[in-house]
Amino acid sequence: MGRIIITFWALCICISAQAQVGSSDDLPAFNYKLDYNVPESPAFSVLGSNPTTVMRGSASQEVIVNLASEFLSGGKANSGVGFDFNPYFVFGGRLKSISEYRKSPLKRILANTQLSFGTVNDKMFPNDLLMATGLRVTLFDTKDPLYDKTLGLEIDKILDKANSGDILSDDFNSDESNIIDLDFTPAYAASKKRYKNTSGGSMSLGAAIAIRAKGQSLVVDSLTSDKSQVWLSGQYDFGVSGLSMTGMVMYQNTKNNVEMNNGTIAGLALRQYRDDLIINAEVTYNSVMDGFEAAGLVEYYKIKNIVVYASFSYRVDEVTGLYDRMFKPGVKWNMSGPK
Amino acid sequence: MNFCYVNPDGGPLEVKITVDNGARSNWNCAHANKEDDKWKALETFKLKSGDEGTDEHTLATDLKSIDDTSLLWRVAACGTVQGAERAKFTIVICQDGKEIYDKVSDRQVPACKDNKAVQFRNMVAFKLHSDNDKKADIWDVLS
Repeated sequence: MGRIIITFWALCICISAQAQVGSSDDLPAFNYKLDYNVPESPAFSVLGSNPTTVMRGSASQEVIVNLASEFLSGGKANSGVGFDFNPYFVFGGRLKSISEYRKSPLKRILANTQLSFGTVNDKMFPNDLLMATGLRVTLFDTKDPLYDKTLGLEIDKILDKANSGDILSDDFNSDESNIIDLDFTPAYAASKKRYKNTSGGSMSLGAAIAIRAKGQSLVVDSLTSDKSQVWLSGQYDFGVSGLSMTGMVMYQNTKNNVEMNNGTIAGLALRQYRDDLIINAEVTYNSVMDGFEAAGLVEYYKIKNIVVYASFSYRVDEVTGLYDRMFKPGVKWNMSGPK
Repeated sequence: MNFCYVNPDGGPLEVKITVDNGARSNWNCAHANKEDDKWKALETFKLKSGDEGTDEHTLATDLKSIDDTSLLWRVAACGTVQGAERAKFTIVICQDGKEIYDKVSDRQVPACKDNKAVQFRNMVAFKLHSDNDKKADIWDVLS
C-alpha cells in the first residue's frame, strides 16, 4: 500500500508541475526529449539501484522515469521506480537569455539541478518499503552545449530562411500559432562533433537519503533512516575517441536494525561515447565493505525518449560480506511524451 | 485590432523585441499600408533574439504620414534550453524613450533539436495622437 502511495504522490508532483507550466496555452505540448548522456538518479543511487556506482558530473535533464527490473536480473537486484526532474523549470523558473545563463553561475546551477524520488522493493525485508529522495547540483560543465555559440548562429540562419516568405500575404486576423518542420539535424550533428572533439570538464555535488517504512506503513513511528550519502563527481572529457574519465568520492552512512556504518566510496570510471552507445567501465573502493568492486555498463540511445541499459558488476554483498556477481538491466524514460 | 498612439511631433519610433528562456527567434517585420485590401510595404526589416534575447530597429517612416499604417510581424522560434519549454515573446514600441505600445505573448516552443519551430503573427495599427488633439483624446477614453 505504501509503495502505491509513494508512486502516486511522485507521479502527481510531476504531472501537476507539467500541467501548471503548460496550462495557459491551447498549443499542443512540445517538450524536451532525453538528451545524450543522461545522468544517474540520486535517489536510485542511495537505494543501490543505479547500474553503476560512479556518477556523472554532466548537466541534468527535465523529467525522467527510472525503472529497475528485478525480473530481468534473476531476482538479485531490487526492482523499483524513480522520478528525476529539474525543479527550476518544472515549477516555472525562467531564464532571461542564453547570455544570462552563460554569465550567471546561480541561474546555471538552478537550471542544472536535479531532484529525485525513488522507491524499491527490499528483498531482505520484503514487508518494508525503501524510499529515497536526492538532489544533484551541477557546479560547472565547460562542455555545456549552451556555450556553443556556433550552434546558436546556425539555428538563427535556419529560422531566418524559414521565416523569409512574403509577410504581406499572411492572414493577420488570427493570433493562432502553427508548428513548422525544419531541419536542424546538420547543425546539431556538427555541434555534437565539436562536443566530442573538445576536451573539458564538469563537476557535480549530490546528496541523498533513504528511509525505511517498516511494514510499508507511512506512520511516523514506522519510519527510520536507512542510508544517507553525499558525493562529489568530477568528469574530464579528453576530446579524443569520445573518451571520458570520471572520478567520484562519496561519504555514506548506513544504519540498519543491527548496526551503523560510516565509510567512503571512491571510484574511477572510463567512458567511451559513441553515436548511440555509451560504454562504461569502473573500479571503486568501498571502505565500509573494505573491498574493491568493478562494473561494466552499456547504455543504448537509439530508441526515441528511451535509454535502455544493462550493467554487470562484481561487488561485495552488503548482507553476506562476500563477493557476488550482479546483472542490472533498466530503462530511463522521458515522461514528457513521444515526439 | 491593436492600436499604437503616436505623437506626430515626437521622435522616431523604436521597435524592440525580447524573448526569454533561451528561445531562438526570427522576426520578419513590415511597416505597411493597406490599399484596396492589400498590404503595401513602406519598410521591411528583420530582428532576431539571438544569445542576448533582444534586438531593436528604428522605423524610418516619416511620422506625419504614419496614421492608419500598421506594423506587421511574423515570428519563427524554437527552444534550445533543456527543460525550458515556454518562452515569453515581447514587442515594445518606444517614442522618445517612452513605451507607447507593448504586446506580450507567453507560448510553448518546440525544441530546435526536434526539428520543429513555432510560427505566429500579429500586427498593430498606428494612430496619431498629439496632446492638443481632441480627436485623439476620444481614443484615450476608449482605450
